[in-house]
Amino acid sequence: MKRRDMIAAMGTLSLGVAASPFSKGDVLKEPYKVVQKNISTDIVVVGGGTAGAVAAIQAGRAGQNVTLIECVSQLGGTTTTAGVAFPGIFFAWGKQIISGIGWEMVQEAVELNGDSLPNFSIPHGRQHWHHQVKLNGPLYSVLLEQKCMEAGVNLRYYETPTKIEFNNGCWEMETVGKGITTKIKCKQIIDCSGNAIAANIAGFDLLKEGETQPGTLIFRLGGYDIETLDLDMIKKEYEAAINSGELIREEFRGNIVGLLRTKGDNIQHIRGADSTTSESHTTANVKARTSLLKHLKFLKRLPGCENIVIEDMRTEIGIRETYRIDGLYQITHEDYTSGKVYKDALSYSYYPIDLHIIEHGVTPKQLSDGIVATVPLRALIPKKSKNFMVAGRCLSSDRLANSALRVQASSMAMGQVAAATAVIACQRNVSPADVPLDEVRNLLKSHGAIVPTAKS
Amino acid sequence: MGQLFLQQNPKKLMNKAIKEYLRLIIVAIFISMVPVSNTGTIQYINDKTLAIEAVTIKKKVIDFEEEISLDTLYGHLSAKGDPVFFSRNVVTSVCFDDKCRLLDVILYWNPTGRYLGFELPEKEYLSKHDHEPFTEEEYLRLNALLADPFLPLDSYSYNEIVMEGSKDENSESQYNDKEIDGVSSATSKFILDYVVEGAAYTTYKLWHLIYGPTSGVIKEWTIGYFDSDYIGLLLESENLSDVLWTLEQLAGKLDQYPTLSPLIFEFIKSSEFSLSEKAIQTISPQNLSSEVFQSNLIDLFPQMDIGRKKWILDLFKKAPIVYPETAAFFNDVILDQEVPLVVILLEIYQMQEMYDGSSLEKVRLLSNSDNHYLAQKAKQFLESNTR
Repeated sequence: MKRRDMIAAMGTLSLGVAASPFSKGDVLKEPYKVVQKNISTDIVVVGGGTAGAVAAIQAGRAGQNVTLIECVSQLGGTTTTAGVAFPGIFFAWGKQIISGIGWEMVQEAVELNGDSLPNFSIPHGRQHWHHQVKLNGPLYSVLLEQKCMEAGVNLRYYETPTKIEFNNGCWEMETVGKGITTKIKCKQIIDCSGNAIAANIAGFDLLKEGETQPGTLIFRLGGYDIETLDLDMIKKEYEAAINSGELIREEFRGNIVGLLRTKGDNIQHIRGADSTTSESHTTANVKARTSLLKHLKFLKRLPGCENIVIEDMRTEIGIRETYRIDGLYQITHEDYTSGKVYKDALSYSYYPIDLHIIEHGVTPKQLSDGIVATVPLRALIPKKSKNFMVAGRCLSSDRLANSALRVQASSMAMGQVAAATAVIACQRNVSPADVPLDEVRNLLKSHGAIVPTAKS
Repeated sequence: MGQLFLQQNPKKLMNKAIKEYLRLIIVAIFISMVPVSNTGTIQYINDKTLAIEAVTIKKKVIDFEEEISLDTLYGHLSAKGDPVFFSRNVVTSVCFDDKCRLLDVILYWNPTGRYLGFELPEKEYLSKHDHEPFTEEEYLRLNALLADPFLPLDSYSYNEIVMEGSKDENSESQYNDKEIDGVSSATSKFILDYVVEGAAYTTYKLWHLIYGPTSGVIKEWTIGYFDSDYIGLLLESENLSDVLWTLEQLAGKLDQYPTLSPLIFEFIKSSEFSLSEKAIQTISPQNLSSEVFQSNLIDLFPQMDIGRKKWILDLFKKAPIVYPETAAFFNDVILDQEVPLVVILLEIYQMQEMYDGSSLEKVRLLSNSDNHYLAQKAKQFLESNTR
């Protein structure tokens, strides 16, 4: 007997004995089955974070069919989901160095939130954060989504790629999501996953340091007044808790006062945080939340902190570093700090070398006066690849250069570059490494981007 | 950095007890006195916002909601009655190691809330933990530190400075430097970069007094005197932060001060991005009811980068009218603009119902663009005309 017939028979048998278990308006869901969908598009962007959302908007505005795959439920990644809502830096030495779609989004978010931009004219020396633009993260996420929709981007939340193969001059990708698997055929792929997951699936070589930078869960503590706390006592209790094994020193950089002062804003360090797989990402999230809870319970028993509470917490830990591609060119620390301008430089990047090290905390090393780094297209293209690019922190770079390149404004600029290159590659039916650079430059400029002047 | 009037005081003329007793007497006298002294005192005055003379003083007792809650704020006014600078006679204590010392100082602010300088009452001088008076270099360093609104001292609590040294070598905050202000307390190496060595608490206290609630009260006081003439004077300041602050107060209010428009246009032309940006932000869509204003604004358009063009075009969406000359300009440039600006122009066309023949012709050209995205946008506008 089929299930539907059995249910109908049960209904008949129970008639007169009891009322039907179904309300008048209820409809019985059909048995579970995974929906299979086929899509054909020009460009697939994997990851809707800092670089990916900008890449998708750029490709859409240049008239291409674009599909954007994002494994969580909103766009913006580090800026929004991880809560690092200060996507600097767009200005260096008094001049704007990154504009385009990322800057446009920032402009709109600032205006809509009634905020004002910082004074970019002041030199900031060691204090680069004075040029950071603070955003309302949720608003920024909504804006990105609207701009993607307006650019005709096909948004696919909750999906992640499982198979990527290059056949007959096209990419064939399979993704899995909630109750759906999708086969996508496309001309170009831009991997903005941050972890180079698409590059990995496609079979390109990835690199990873033996010890990666720690991850950070952003949260906000409240319910205490630091001015009234006995900080010496708290530090002694903290040391005792570390010595007894209750707390782990590295999780808040050995700086309990720093935790209380920042209230949880970008202070935590979780060793080995890796968002590459569901399993590793789950581990990182659980570790970060457990660390927060342990410290909360510790603080709660100290005088003055009895009423301490978690006022807010981002849904995910922020990840600084996992995998990088082995690209046609690897940007080195020396390249970055000397402000090397490559023949194929298509965007700028400006940030101090900013390595977070578990054992030593963070010591930003500022660039020398007047230095602005550039990003060559080759650093976005994996070796031996065709019709494939990355943008964002997984670009080809050594660890120190990556610690500066990974920041959000630079990633936005890279996202726009990768998309513009993919557009030209689609139009000319060539691989990104073979696109005429002047055409890419012109396309970028026509969409408001700032392009470095190439040296002859 | 500013002018320097320094007169070294005789060293330790009195023992500590007598000195503190006399300080109390001086405090009592000074509370009712005009806080200006040009002779015989240690005084550091930096660049002034306004070069005009202050001729009268207006006093206000303010609840600053800080350690010294009720205190008098002195507004030094011009002959016309506008604020030229402000001052407070601060008498407070600097405490560490369960001991407190009197801090008696006159602080000066510009009308924009920016730090102007400090002065010590007659025969007063600042000293360090070992009671050694400040050297000239230390006064200069203190003045320079106090003039920096971006010192990270704002993110540190007073409580943190008085913490004992940490023995944690892994900590970013190392507290192992002895003798900062006090006898045995220690402070962070990080903080040492932002204080006068040997006078951490004094530096911290003064910096927080300067950038605490007083600055906000002064700004409010100044804003209360705003008229075109006074704003014009503030905008002539040679200090960029004064000008930027004044422009920020005018955001979206330029229609209330139309005589300032020529100056605002000069700022918009500036190569200083923030100056130009904040000048654009002063413009209200109501300003665009003037045909001349619209004309002047579109004359600036070609000099602007895309970000500033976007802000300017956004104003036209809400403008009471788009004059024919402006519409003609838009039609001239629409095909040559960056894609995001073309989209904004199409939004202006729609919101301002620019369905004249010339505009429609340009949009029809766009509707045939190779760029599918732009073509769709243009078609949407054309369809809106047929509804």
